Amino acid sequence: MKKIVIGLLVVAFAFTLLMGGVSCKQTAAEVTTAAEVTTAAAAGMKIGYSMPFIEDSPYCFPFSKALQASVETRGWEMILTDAKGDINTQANQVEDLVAQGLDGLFVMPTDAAGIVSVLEKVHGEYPDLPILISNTLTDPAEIASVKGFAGPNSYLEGKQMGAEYVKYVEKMGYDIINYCHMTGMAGYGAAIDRENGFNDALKEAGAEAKFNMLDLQPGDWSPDKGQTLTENWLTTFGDELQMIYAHNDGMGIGVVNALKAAGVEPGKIVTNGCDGQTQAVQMVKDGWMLFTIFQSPISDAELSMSVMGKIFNGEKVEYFTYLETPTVDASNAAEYLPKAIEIWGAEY
Amino acid sequence: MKKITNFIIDQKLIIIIIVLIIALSVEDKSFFTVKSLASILEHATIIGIMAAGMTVLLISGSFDLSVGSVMAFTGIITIMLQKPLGLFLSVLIGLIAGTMVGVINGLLVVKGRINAFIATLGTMVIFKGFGLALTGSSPVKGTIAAYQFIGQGQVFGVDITLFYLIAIFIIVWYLLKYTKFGRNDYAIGGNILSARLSGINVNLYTLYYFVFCAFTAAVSGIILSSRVNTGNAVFGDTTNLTVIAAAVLGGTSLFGGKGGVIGTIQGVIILGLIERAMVVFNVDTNYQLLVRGIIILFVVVTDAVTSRRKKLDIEKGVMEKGA
Amino acid sequence: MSDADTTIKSTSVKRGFIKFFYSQAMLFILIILFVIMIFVSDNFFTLNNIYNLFRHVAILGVMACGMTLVIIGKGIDLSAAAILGLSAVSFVMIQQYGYAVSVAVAIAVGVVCGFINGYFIGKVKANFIIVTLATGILFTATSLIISEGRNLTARPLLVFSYIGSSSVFGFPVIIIFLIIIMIITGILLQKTIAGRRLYAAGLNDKAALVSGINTSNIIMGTYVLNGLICGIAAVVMTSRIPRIRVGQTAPYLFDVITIVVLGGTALTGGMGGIYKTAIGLAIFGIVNNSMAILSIPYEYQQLIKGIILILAVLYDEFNRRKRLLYQ
Repeated sequence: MKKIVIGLLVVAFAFTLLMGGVSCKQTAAEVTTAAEVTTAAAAGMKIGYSMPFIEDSPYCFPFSKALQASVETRGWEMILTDAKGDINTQANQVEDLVAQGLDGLFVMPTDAAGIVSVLEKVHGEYPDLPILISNTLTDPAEIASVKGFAGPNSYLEGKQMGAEYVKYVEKMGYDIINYCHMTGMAGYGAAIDRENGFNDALKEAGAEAKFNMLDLQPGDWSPDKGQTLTENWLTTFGDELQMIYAHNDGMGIGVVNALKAAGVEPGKIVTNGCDGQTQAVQMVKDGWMLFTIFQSPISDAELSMSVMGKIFNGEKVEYFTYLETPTVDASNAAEYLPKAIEIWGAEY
Repeated sequence: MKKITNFIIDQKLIIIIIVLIIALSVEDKSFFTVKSLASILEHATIIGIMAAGMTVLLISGSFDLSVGSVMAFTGIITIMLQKPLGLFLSVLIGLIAGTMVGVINGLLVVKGRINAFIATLGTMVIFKGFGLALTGSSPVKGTIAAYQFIGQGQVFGVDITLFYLIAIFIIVWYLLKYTKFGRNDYAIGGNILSARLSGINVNLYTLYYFVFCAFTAAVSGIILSSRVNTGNAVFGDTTNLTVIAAAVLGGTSLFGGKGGVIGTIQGVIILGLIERAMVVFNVDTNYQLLVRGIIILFVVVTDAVTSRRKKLDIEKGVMEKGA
Repeated sequence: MSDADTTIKSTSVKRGFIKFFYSQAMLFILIILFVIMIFVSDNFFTLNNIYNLFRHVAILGVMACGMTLVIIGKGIDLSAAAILGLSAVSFVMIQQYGYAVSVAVAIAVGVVCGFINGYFIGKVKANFIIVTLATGILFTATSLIISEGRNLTARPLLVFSYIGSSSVFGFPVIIIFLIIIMIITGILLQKTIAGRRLYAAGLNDKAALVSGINTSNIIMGTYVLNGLICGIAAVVMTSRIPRIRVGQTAPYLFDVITIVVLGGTALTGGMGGIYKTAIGLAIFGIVNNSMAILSIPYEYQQLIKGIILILAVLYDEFNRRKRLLYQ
């Protein structure tokens, strides 16, 4: 009996290795989205893409699928790595990737500050290799060793969201609004950016005095934390609470679910999301969320690809190429819903 | 036939390593070079150094879940002290701070009689929180350029980290084989009562082992924070389990009394080769987790089965010889 | 009645009382915390907040029942959170086919996962820490593959959200459910032969084997039951929180272990029970809740939770030694 078990495990082991190897050779058999096809001057390039998470991120997963589709259209070969949120793993993977002989390297930093020394080292060893930062800015944002950045700007998104709330406060004529701040995950870049952006937007509008922060807690990008935190805040602050600023859809949806369960009317306590997931857009449409920010992982992926394509073609590129991240509010939610469904899928 | 199967199973780690190296070299022509092979070890340094310390602790029958937090915490302290205290002092104090956690762990287990699992779980959470509080939940950047040499320097064309790894493993190997520190380790892990009865100060030595484990984590913390020139409380979130897995993969028993760094280095190398294989074979990211899980399960199960078989064989042998 | 008799009687009464005092260490900590919180915060002792407190930890409590079984058997299940995640994902994805079917699937997934654990640990006798570590990775990988990393939403029908979100005469159903599960597991442990055998096997598996107990079956059974309970917990979780991100269950594992150990069930096996776990759950719930309503910054929450855990366990150990003195 034990021999059978060992035998089965050996077979499973060999099989998964084989499957892993085989599945990479097959090109991603996904339907290509309407991606712009650059002229084939840059065909046959080999690129490496170092991501901080792939699985367990509702953003990074469709992002990686879009990458694979985009690479297929362009006729490039791509190696994708997943650092599982660990900076040391990402540093190792970046070094492993360049050792494979690449024509271009993309890095989505796990840690904005930490990745800089790794990039400088890699650039020193391979000065001709173009490196592009994707989706998350490095700290400092502009460094000599990379060609540029393409993607959404979490800090600017934070500002966008702050501006929306300033608009809301002015519209309602409030002298002061009490709010709770739900951040992403403690210590991670996007959360820090969206917090700073929000605060700076308030400062720039001169509206700082109007916003009274009751509490600040991390929601871990998760709907369960979002829901639990909101329930606690409702208990602690009761009627005082007027607004909850959430850093992403995942948490924002949790906030709304808690409000619904507590019997609060839509719009009485305003909240938001960021990403533009289907359910979030629906919630904007139904009045539960004031707004969300549409950040299409597909456009994000495509953007970084096209910037690299330009670099391969020898064109001059700006350092910063920002992804358009339109605000989705009550006025345009209806038109964004089908777009969201296309990217994130309809809900079950 | 039985002898051959037993031999293969005993040497299973080396065989897996050889198989992986062959597979990688076939897939990637540039793999079988000194530089490339050395890079496997270089990348594995941080996990490897912690695994060496963890091995020492595991042999004595305890383990430490707080190593990831100690690593991050050391890095944070060191980087934050760079400006006021300069390179040398900041590193020294950072190392001391990290090693102190080992003292706390040891005291909790030995004096407080708390289970190692809970004690180190507690310190893991405490020092992560401490790290978050000190840094205000955002990364702190290094301010002394020379600091980066510790983690990034190159000596004779290879990363300096390779030398750290080799040095620590030689030191631990020597400690385990030729010193009282090592002999007591096996004794305590093997049978704590007999160890006490033979006059070993079990409490003191257990404390030593906790301190040593935390020390290696602190060293790794210095190397990591120097490599990325940053300190952040979220570093090390995932390292705890990888470190224990490397040691156990290498044959060190979780119940104590068995194992050694020779096995651990093999475990570390295997994990490093698997990581490289993921990149070289461009394994579909959906399946990477699956592959890792199956590999670990595979080694553990064969280990369990074979150690039972060995025990049965020994018993059979004893009966036949008419002991 | 002679003087000697009365003296002996009163000493043993006193002894019994002291022994009781030291054996209920955790209960006293619970009461003390409770009283402190009443004074510290106005919001604490409201019906809404107490309900919230238990609602938030209800799922952890359900899982803790399963984990208690495993720990009494001298094991641990590090894949519990992954089983929860996989069952939850399966549950939500099958919901379109109806309530009964999807609940059956969720529970079946939990049982299968538990069986995988139980087989390797109980029959093959592999090391329980590494096995459950590895199976945890496998189960997480599976749930990511089938959900494609997306966040999933439970169907908004009442039947799916009833257990988690509804109330009966104002009393949350989820708490009733938790109590029911605790009672059932408690009866299983204390009143059945299987339960007694489990205690024996956890205390000294060789002795148990010799006395004719089929320890490998018992141990396997604990893991299967734990898987079952995690499957049930998944149904309850999605009925309270209709949206799932696969990775969100990962932190639950340590919380569940903390709850069981806080209550006084030792990791060395052979002792403990649901009553203890319930107390651990209440303590954990109060600590969590108080930090939330006191708006303590996140960084300090971690620090405080760790310190409380260590202090509580130290106190429990202190009491254990005192108790032995009065045996």
